[in-house]
Amino acid sequence: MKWSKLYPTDWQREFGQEFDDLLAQRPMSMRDRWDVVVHAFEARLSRLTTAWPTLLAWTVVATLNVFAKEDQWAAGGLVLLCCLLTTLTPRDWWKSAILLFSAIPISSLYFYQLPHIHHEPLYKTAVALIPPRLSDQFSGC
Amino acid sequence: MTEKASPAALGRFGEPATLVLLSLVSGPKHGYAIMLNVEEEMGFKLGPGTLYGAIAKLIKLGMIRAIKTKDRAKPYQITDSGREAVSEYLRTWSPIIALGKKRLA
Repeated sequence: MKWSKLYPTDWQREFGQEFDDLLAQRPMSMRDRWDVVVHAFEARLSRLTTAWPTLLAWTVVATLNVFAKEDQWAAGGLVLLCCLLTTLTPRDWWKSAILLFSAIPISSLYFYQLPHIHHEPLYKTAVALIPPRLSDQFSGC
Repeated sequence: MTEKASPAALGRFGEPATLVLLSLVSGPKHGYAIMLNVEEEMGFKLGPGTLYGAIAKLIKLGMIRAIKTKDRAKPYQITDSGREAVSEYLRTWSPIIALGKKRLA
């Protein structure tokens, strides 16, 4: 059995071969097996922890976009969560930002046809992100 | 927030990572050699998962680096920041160990 298969793909690419070679060098005790399983699980979990905040933030923005009566809430939530994700995942901040911005059009498309849900056109949310003086000019359009 | 190359950044991998660093101070070694060295010279048995967990963490923190080779097993080498971290770790613990010895004497 290739124990490295228990680990995430990127980990396997970096250490997989030598890890399996190391394990083949001597018989594995029950303690060794447990140690590998626990650390493989932990490595997989550590990959998830960077994805979870983004997924959670996406859900929050989408929910705000659909259910909040004022578009500013969705816009504010979007900006705030973008900042938070940038702090949490500094290396992948741009991926998180793109994903978060997708929450508004996707949630709008999905819920647009539900009559009981208040929904403002997407451009108003975009206007809410612009400073007040400028946004007055745009909202008059 | 970037992770600094300090013993505190090693988190719960502190102990195994320090053993790996100490093993690499005497020269580059591949995973199995590190495991044997820690076992024989330091008296600690590192599980394979723990060993590679510590190696991955140390690479991420820039305390060790893999040497490119054609062999299947890559040797790992301690970096300056790794040397600094292990020195700091020992500096922190030396007075505590000395105090403990004195009190138990």
